[in-house]
Amino acid sequence: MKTAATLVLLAAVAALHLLSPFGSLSVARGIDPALATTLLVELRLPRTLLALGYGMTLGIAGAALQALFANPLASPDITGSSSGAALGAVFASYWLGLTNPILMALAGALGAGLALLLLLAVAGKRTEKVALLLAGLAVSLAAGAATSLLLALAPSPFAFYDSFEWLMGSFTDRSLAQAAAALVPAAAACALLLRRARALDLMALGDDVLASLGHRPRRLGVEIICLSAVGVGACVSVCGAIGFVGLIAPVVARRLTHGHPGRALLPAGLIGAMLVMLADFASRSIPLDNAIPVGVLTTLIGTPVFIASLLSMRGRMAP
Amino acid sequence: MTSLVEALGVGIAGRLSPSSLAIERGQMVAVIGPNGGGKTSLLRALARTEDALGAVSVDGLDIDATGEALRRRLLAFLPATREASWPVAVTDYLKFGLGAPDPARIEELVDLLELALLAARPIDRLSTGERARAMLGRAIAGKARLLLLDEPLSNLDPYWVLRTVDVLRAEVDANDSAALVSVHDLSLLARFDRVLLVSGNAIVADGPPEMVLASEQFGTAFRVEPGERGWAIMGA
Repeated sequence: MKTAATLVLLAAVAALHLLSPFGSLSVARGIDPALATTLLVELRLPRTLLALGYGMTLGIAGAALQALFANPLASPDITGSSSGAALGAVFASYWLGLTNPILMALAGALGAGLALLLLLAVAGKRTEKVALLLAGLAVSLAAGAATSLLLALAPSPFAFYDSFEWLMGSFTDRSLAQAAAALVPAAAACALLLRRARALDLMALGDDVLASLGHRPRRLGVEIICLSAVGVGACVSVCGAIGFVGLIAPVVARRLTHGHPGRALLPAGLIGAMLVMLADFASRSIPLDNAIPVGVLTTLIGTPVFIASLLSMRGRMAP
Repeated sequence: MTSLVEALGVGIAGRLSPSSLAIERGQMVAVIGPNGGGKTSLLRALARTEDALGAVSVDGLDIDATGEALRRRLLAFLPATREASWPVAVTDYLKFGLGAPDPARIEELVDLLELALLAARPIDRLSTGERARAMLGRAIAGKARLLLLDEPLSNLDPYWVLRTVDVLRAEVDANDSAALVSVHDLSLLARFDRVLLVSGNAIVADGPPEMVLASEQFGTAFRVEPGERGWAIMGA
């Protein structure tokens, strides 16, 4: 029932995102119906698909990582995959001069993969949760610094300026090919994460109980990290980084699932998709000369929400 | 007829040297030993945690070769920790112990463990003793053939200590199963059929309670002896 209502709401938000502003569409229809279709499919559709898919990936990956670390403060950023993907894409674009969206997405996924390998190497073979968390933080800081360095030393003097909008998260002027490059790996990763939802619920009983039920907690942990990195990495390489959605969406979703961390994966994905679409809608609607990047908007809105949830958690150590 | 549980070379590297034992149907087995002696490791190895060595069969089935559905019927494990990460309601927590929905069993457990007033409350907001009861309920919910319970009596008040032992005895009798229970309170041993003394990373004594209590290994392991006012430190 709740899921059905959420789906209807999501469809409504997606339709709003796709069709508005409606004025320019109807003007185009008046000139030539084919023009309206082209506008809708070539320009509007990639934007809506990317916002929807990226948001869903952030929600699902965030919920999976929070379930894995048994911590409502974990998020996709902590695997270092966002930063790694940004690094890979910046290197490909400003140092190798690549422009092809598929190659860019590949470079991003490669960057996310390298960040992941580094993470697993730093965390060690025992892959304990705290070690993974700290290693992820280290990798993400290192990748962030390396990205700034590459931009500062880039042959193009405009690299910093160019990259600003992209690295801050944006859905404007992306092609269907770029959308596919980001969303095909992301959808596969999400599907595989959702298949692990039940095991993640049982992880609430502790790793030893999960193992006694025939699951493999350590392998599950590595799988969750890898799938999150692939999904989020592919999205980052096309749209840049979008903060806080992967943190907030699962917290809201667990209120719908009565605290069950695994069952919250799907609702977290739906809520994440809605949040990113609404944020993008808002960033388009604010009448400024320069559009505010979506990533900046989600972070601006997300920070107070995050602080509020931290404050409410201080009394009772639970989300 | 073979034993209910056959464990061959079970152990955990650095914690418990490979040990073998058999457990019969209907047996309530107490696991005792000094801190760090290997009680928890024995239970974890039998529960097949990821670092467990050796092999365990229950009802003639090799545990490591079974999937979740069958394994739920063969064994259930309750770790010593009382930590709960997520605000899951007590009844939902009990449901984690079942492979398929069984409202009648949940109702039965709520009555048995007197959880009615706590049923809707998130498990992470209960007192430690209440949480211990709910967590025990999760472990016994599936009526597994082998119950592996690590200190289920810790944090309980005196009534619930005695009551829990009775509940476990009733479950074991009703399901023709067996329970391995680690305990610290030596006065409870008379309520068990058999005692395993685990010390120095090995099972050093195994037998009826009165035999193990009187054994030389008991004194060596615990460094206590019966005195005028209960237990006394040896040689003091």
